[in-house]
Amino acid sequence: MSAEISRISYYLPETVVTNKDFETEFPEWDSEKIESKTGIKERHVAGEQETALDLGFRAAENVLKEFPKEQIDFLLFCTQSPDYFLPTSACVLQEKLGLNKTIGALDYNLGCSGFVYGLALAKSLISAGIASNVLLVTSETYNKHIHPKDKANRTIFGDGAAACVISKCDREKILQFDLGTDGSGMQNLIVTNGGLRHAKDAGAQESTDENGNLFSPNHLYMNGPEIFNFTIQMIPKTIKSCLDKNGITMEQIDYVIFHQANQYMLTHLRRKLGIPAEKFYINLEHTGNTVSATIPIAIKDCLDKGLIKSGDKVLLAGFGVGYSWGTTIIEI
Amino acid sequence: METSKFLSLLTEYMEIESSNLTVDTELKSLPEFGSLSIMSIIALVDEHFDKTISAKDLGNVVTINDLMSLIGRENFSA
Repeated sequence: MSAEISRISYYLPETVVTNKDFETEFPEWDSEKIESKTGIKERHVAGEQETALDLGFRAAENVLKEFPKEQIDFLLFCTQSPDYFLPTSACVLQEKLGLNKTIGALDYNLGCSGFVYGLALAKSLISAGIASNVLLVTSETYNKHIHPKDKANRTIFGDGAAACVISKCDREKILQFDLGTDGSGMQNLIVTNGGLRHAKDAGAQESTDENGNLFSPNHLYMNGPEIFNFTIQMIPKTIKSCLDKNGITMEQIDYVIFHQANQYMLTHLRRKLGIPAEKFYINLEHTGNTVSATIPIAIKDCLDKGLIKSGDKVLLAGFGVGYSWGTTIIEI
Repeated sequence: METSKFLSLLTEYMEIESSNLTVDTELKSLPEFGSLSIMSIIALVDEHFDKTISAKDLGNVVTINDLMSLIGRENFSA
């Protein structure tokens, strides 16, 4: 049995933080420079009482305006910011959305690679005959993990959620995957405290990096240069492997959508891979890096703008925290 | 690569205003040195030398001469 993405939508929280807002808070931060380097003008941030589950609920509501919810028979929810240790957010969401009690539902914990893995899981469930219409929700609120005085990460990350329906169809439109994992990079993007290994510690030592950003083991730490290194080494390999597995050349790909990490990294990857600019999506202007939601947000925006159309082959790649990465090709 | 070519690439990648770089210039003394400079250098080395240098090793670099040693002397001519 074959699978396709049949509906896609997203939701961004109402609060918007602009570069000008940051300039007021951090006078040494030059808003124009931020924009030219990162490609980000503003990002949406979840309210204090608003969680990834809430954002995911709104995104799912949006997609279910166009798809009968009675037909959903599996729910996958991707976040690294769950409401509870238990129960799983997907179970809470089943009830909130009024989905059938006969569905399967589960959470999985991934960051920037999460959407591609969700497609792999949904395709597997459909091809095994376990499900016919999978609701895949990727939702993230990294801003809740970031130290208020960590201006670098607050600049890059936005909060947001995306929801799509992956359905059984006659011809395969979610092609083969290339997936990868390297846990040796775990220290380079991590929230150390707050799980069961290390409890949240009110007295945790705060550190300042050479650019004046504050963080502590209670907050998100990202070693940007090492993540950059990992990406520029691994992405060309996974792209090649994915194209080989599918017997497709880069010339046969109509459009390329990578995880929207930051403009600088994407531009470098594009040049390194020799992909023409007109075939390569870069747009972080109004959302920033929304982690597992960037790729589906980009797909939806590209559809709305006419950058991709029915029949197009689109190469997707997600990469980041873990390290974890995944690449696939979808047909629109 | 000729040293002069490398200096002009550094000027370009790090968006340095002055064009008076020498191999003895201390990178962190440049007013343009900031959070993205390390990434710019990693990008330059990846693109022009097809090599990966770790952020940790880059942290120990003081002068451009040190950086050239890290990339490997065999890659440079006078």
